[in-house]
Amino acid sequence: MNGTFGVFAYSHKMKIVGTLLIIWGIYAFISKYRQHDLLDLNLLSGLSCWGLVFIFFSKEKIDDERIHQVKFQALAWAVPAGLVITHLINYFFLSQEPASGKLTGSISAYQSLVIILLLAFGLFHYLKYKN
Amino acid sequence: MKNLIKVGRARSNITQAELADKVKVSRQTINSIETGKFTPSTVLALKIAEVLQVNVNELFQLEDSDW
Repeated sequence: MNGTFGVFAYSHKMKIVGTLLIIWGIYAFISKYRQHDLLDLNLLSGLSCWGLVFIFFSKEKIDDERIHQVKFQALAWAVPAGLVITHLINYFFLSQEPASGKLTGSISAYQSLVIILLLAFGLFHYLKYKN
Repeated sequence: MKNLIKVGRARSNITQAELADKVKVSRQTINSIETGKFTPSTVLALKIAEVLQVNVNELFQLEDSDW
């Protein structure tokens, strides 16, 4: 698993880049809300998505095979669980307008990935300290 | 899988942290192996056996539940 397709291959420092991207997203969300009174999640979810990818897939301070296994375990749970949550949100909030039959309020791919990565991140830290 | 790393460490008089340092993993990983929560790879098992100067078969033994 080494070389080109090595797992969790980003440098530990990429966590800083990830954190900065999330902060940028939060700042953009707040400033847009303050200026235009608009709850726009697009930039926040897009940047958080990238940020969480950099945070989750970068190396830990001590990066050994147990950490890799725990990360894989967290991902294996988070992907189906996140998909279930996405479907539930879409089921309850994706409403069909009775007159036009138009669908509204669907969750975006970025938001779905943020849910999955947040679950994976939380589960990884839980499993890491539990074991 | 049963393991006797704790016994091997006591015989070699080294701590979890020292063993972890020698085989380049975290102390928590050694602890997880000792408590049976994590099964190491063949490479890591061989490294641990070499540091503790025992045969890998003496450190790790299969149990009936492994079959």
